[in-house]
Amino acid sequence: MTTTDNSQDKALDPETQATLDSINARVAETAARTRAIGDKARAEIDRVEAEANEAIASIEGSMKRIDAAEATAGEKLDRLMMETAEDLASE
Amino acid sequence: MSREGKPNGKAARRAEREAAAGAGEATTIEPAVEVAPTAEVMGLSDSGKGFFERMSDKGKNILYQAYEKVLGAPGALWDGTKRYATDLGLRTVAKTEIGYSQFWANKHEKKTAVLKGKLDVFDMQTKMLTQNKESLRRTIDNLKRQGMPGTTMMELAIKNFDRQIANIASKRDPIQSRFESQERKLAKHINARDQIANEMISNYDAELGPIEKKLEFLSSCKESVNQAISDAEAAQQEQLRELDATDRQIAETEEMLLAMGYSPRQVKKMYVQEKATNVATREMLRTQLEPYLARRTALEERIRLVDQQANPYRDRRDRYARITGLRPLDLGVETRTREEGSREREDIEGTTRRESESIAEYDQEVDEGDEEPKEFAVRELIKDWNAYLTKTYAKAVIPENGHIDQAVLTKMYKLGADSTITAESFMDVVGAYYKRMHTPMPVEFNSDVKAFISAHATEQS
Repeated sequence: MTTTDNSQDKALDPETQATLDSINARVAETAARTRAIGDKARAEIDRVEAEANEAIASIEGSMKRIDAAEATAGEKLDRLMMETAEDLASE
Repeated sequence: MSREGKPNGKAARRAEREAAAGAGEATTIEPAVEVAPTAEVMGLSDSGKGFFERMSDKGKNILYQAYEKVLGAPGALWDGTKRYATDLGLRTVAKTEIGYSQFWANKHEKKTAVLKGKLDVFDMQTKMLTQNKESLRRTIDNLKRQGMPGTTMMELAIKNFDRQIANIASKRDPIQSRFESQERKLAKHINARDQIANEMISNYDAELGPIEKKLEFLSSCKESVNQAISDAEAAQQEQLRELDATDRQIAETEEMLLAMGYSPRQVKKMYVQEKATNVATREMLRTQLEPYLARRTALEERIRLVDQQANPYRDRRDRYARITGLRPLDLGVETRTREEGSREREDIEGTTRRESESIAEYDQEVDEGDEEPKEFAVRELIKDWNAYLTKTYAKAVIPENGHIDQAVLTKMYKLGADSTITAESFMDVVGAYYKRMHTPMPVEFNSDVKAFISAHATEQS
């Protein structure tokens, strides 16, 4: 069991109290600035990530459109090759 | 099998040969899989299957030969049954390339080359005959200038050349038609291929520009994330220095307070919260960027992947452009050959006209002179010639049939009884008549001709 005995504590003089308060404020400020670093990094990365996602979605959309065009072209080529093969077969 | 149950010698040797051949090729060929040319095997689209089913077996086999090349194109993946597993884009571009080379470079162009060879032979024959004809024409002109008789037979030879040239042209025409038909088929195929390839190039051009810009933007995104993290790390260093400073300040203050008589217990209690806060802040500094570093890695990976996916599209656009550069062989057959053939036919018709109007042609040539030669009635000239022969060869040096039969000659050359002709032309006709009738010419025929023409020239003057 732990016991606390404050009977011999000296009363803090105003100057010492001011020093304590100053340190306390500085520590709190450092912690706050440190949190802000993370917040700023997160905000920037969130923004960039959102823009990058948009760009990637746009690229994927382009690629899908090209794929669709490839599929159409492939069907046309199938038909062209079939017609040609039949043409050659008939000669 | 022999009676002992062992393979007989011939079968054993064959088995050994096959085994040896199989062992030698095992590393170079894939196991032979007999696959029928079906729409599924070739990966034909639903819209193409209907047409494929209606194709002849021969057509299907030709098509399958081409699709085997498509299946074996770079990027193609085999799943063991020769079914398609190829990337769609690669397959399409391979079809565009192979659809050209397989069908046309290997088949059509060979056919046109064979036809071109035949056309060349005809052209060479025609050229030789034309040269011979021109040479003979020059000889005739020379003889005429010298007043020599007997050129009519040469004219007949020229007509013979014309007939041969016409015959060759007649044989050449169907070959030319087949050649042109092949050329038209090729042009149709090339145009269809180019249209598809150009559509793809347009698509790529329309889509690749934005893709390139977006990829550049993604690259700048990576830079932005890196910059944000670098800035955060720099700020963290600043905060670490600040933490160190506050920790030092706390320690110094504690020492000062102890010196001032504050108990260690009391001093320790004074900065518990600040020390705890600083520890928590250091932990925050250590860990706070970890998720962002992970997000940066993930973003970079996504950008790398999308860039990697976009690369083939960029490459394929160039492949389509190269495909449209694949042109058929220029076999050097002029496109206007048919038109020239028509002109040749016109010449042949002209020759035919000359055959029936040969006299008029001679008239035209004579017209070129300063003085227009006088024409005489054909029947008079025949009478005069027969009289000349009788007079000159009164002692029957030549047989009676040296005389011209008017009826035969006029019919032979389609001359009317009242037709007129110059004496010179008449003698050409007489020379030809003798040859055609196989009649021996007078011994001094050339002199006789000169004398006869001279006599009539005198009469003219």
